[in-house]
Amino acid sequence: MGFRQGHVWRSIFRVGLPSDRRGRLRVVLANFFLHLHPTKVPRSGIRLTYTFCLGGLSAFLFVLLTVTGVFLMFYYVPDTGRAYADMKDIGYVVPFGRVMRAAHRWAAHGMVVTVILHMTRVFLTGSYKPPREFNWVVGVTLLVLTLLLSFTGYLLPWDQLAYWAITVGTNMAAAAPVVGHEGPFGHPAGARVDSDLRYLLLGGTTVGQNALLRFYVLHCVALPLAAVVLMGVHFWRVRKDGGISRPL
Amino acid sequence: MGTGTGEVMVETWPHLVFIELLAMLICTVAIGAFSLVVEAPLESIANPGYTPPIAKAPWYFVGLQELLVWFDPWIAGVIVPGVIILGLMAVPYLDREPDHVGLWSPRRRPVAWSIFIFGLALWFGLIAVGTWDRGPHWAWYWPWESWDVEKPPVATTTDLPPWVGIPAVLGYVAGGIALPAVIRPGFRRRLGWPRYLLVTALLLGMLAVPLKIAICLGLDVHYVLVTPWFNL
Amino acid sequence: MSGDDRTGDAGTSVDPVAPVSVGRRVLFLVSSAALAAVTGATVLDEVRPAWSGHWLDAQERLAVAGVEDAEGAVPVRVPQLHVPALGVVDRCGACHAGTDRPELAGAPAPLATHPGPMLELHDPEKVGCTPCHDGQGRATRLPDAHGSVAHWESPLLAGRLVQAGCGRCHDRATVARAPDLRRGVALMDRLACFGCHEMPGAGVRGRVGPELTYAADRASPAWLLAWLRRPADLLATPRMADFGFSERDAADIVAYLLSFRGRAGLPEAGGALESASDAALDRMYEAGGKTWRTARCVSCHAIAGTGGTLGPDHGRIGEKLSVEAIAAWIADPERFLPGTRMPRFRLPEGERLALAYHMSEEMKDPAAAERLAEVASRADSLLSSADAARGRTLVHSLGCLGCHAVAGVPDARPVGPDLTRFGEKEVGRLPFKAGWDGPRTREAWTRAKLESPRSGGETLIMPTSPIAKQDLDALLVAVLSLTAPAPASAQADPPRPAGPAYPPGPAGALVRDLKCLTCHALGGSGGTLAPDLTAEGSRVQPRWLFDFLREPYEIRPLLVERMPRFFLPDAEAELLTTWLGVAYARDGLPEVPADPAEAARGETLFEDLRCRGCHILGERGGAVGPNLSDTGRRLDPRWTAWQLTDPARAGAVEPRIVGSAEDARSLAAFLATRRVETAAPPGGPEAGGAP
Repeated sequence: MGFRQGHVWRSIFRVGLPSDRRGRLRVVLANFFLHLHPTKVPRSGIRLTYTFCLGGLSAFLFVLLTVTGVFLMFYYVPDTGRAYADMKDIGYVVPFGRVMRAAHRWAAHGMVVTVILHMTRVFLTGSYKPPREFNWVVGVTLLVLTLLLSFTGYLLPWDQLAYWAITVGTNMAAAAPVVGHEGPFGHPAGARVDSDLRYLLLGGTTVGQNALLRFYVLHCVALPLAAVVLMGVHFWRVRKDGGISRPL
Repeated sequence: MGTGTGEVMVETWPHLVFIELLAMLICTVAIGAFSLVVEAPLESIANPGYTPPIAKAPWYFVGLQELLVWFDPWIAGVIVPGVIILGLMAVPYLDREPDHVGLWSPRRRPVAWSIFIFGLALWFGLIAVGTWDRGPHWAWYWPWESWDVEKPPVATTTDLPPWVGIPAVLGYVAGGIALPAVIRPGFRRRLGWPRYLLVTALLLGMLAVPLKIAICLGLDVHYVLVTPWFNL
Repeated sequence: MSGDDRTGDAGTSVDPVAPVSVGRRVLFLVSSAALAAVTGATVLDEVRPAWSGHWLDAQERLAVAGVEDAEGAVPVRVPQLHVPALGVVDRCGACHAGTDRPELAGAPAPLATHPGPMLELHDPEKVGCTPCHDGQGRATRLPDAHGSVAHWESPLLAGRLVQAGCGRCHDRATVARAPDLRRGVALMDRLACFGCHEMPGAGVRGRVGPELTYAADRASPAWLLAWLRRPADLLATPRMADFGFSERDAADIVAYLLSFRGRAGLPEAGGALESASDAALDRMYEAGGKTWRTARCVSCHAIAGTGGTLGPDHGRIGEKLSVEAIAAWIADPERFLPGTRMPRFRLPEGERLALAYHMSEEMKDPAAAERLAEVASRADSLLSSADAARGRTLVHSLGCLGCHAVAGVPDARPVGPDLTRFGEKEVGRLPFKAGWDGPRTREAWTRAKLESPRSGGETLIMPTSPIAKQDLDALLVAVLSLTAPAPASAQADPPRPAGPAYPPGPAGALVRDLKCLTCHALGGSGGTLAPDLTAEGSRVQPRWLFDFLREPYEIRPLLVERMPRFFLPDAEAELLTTWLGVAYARDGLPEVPADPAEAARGETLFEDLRCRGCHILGERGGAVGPNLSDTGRRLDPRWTAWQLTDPARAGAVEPRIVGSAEDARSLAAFLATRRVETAAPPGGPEAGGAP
């Protein structure tokens, strides 16, 4: 208990655990993580059967994915010659590698599920209605980012599952109208097999080293950064647009 | 549940924070335990020279892959997801009903609920079909059927003739746009023309997916409309 | 922070300091405990992996065996063999902790020492484990490491199957320590798998069956019908597989073959013997029998299973071919089977006919005559309704053309799948039959395919050959060994030439005509049944060679395959002798003076070194090596001395026994005095045979 009153502890935690109403308000205001929240919330808004924690779980899974993902990045090189072997090594000899990779994989699936369910909850409770219209748009963008994050990560193990799933997926880009060389109006618009949307995605006409590198950079840098920024906006707007929705 | 009058407020600490802590804990335990028991899949090394008899997209895209059976790739892979995303984004701007926020109340918003649940069911229904009923070469296999039994691909090449296709498509679009306005004039008036047209277009697009599948299956045709530039 | 918070003060609060409910507190405790449990299980899994037990076991056994500091000798760890050149990272040592520890020789499975001298021959640091054994080298858990899991395409080659791995660096047909692989490769050749499948071969290539254009001229329709239905009815070990032809199929094919009748230009069957009297026929029978024996036909052709295997069993040739057809074949085998291994014997026409008559009379199964007659009685009615066009389709689509040529039909692509890389073919590509309940492995599929080739579906056309159980295993090894070769740096044997390389010129034409390279090697290509002739000009004396070519005799008593007698005319024997003496000699052989004292010393050495253990000299001796009684006429003493110094460099199997070049010279001088005094064969040129 003496430590709690000491210099170091007090420098980190400005206020102690609250024992009264004022303390409870202070602890929320004084903490970086908790200040996302208002000091008081409507009881109906935090009922478990109202939100099912889905938005919060999505954000938390994103954190879990970041932690496990950084761990995996230490052991993985996006080189077609060794990516698969790195996967095997992560599974067999890297300490905690197997469980970390599994956690990353399952948390990713989990996040896709929670994000979709979160969106369903928000729609069905009418929570996109004014003044929250724009935050709904941000949320849909976050859904797309989540799917893209999952999709780009799918290629990295460089196994048959990854290779052919990404081949099937990116072939769709070749069929896009105007910008895909196989799509309607693609040819008159100048889209060729080596100058269309799929080529841009893959850095080539087939899934190869360039595609692996592109997907890796998108998966580990570009898309997470975009997601973090948009998540910041999303949370901020939740506060600014009236907090957890509830009946008016 | 609150009723909109006299909102009951509780302190974030501990009431919300504790719930969040519990949710994170349980989530971590669930992911951790599952990961200990079930390994992440890893198949054979990527082999551009060998296309497996079945290559499925990640599960959340399997629905789109299933649509490839019924539509050309540019529709299934580009138009459909694009319209879904844009349509979702447009939802708050199309819904002109400001009430009933914060309630799980299908009775008060029957239309919105029906449309959304229909779309969700369609999306996950297609995923279910693609995941469990499709075998090698994307042929139909019941879950209890062995994938060793080779099924020759059934390629329907008959298309509706243009003198049927063009009126059918035009009729579908025109009728679909006109019908709600005729039956419920108030609906159109509340939205105004631009919103009304966008709403009906999106709904017609969504309905067109199961309709086209039904036509393909029922009439055994491949394309409803064939043009030199694209096929529907 | 909460200044603009619209919700914060909007409502009224009840019970401002309400505690968290008891239920949630309990839930918190329970989930915290669960998190601790999951974390603990994860850590435990990490610090005590399954393989570590084997190391503790190994330490214990080493301590019992008296090894000091057993824990230091085998610390618990995952040893890793990393061979970048081969792309190998092998952690098999995680469980196989004792492969290089002789103290653990008797230990149970994962700890035991690697058997045999294989690790001495293949340094694990340079080779690793998986290049030979397959399996998943990076894995450290049991089923994964052995590759008996889904999505690992090269599972452990268990048991004798490991020999399949030898073929990646060694010549599959000759690799010393892989008897099953060698046998399997030879079997694949004998079964002519290459007729329908693209694959790297052991030796025999090209078409191995007689040309179909002449089939109807050479054999009767009845015989052809019976043969097509079931080859095993007409020959105990037919080379042709059983295609399961129905009577209608067979009739249609025979009808197609009959459309070529007359192409061979053979005289009418029986015409040559029509005018012969019974006494003349008896004389022909006797003369033909003598030719059969003196030509040593049985060296290559077995009679009802007894004899050589280079050519087909001739026990029932008389049922198949007419006298005229046999005689025409002997006169020019290449005409009916281009590329055949059968030499063209220089028999005069009368002797050919006598030999053919003898074979036709002697080599048949009397019991079969009745059956053939029965087929013959129905042949006309069968053939009258047969569809030659359908027969042609069958011949063209079932792979007949892989083994048999048909005049005017160009070479077609093999009808079966390419097997060049079958050993690494993706399991997903193998058409497992519906309802397959065995393991889904390449091994299991291949075994089932070899056991009953057509059981997988009605469209399958692979014919069946009777294969014994142990042959099946050998075949399986050979089929699974068809993989991409290891990198060039790992190759142990030079690549085998595609076929025999015939020397140019008239002598080369003669070598080709006599099929010398079926058994002998010459200049690096050819067979291994008989001595390499590359230095024959220095090895033997020209006079002896000339005589031997004209009338060969037995030098190695144990061999079945003997040098045939080709009935060579003097001019051809002389051409060969001269040519071998000039073109296939080697320089730098030691001089061996004909010195009686030297020879006497050699005689003592001969007895002291117990050469007689393997060689016959005079009356006594072993039968393993060649008979040395006539060495004085046969071998050049300079060669003898050179070879004895280091037998391996002459390609001989005999051990290196002679200690010094001096001893070798004495022995050579002694052996040069040994000759069998017989009357010289008549007709040889006294001086002209030698260059």
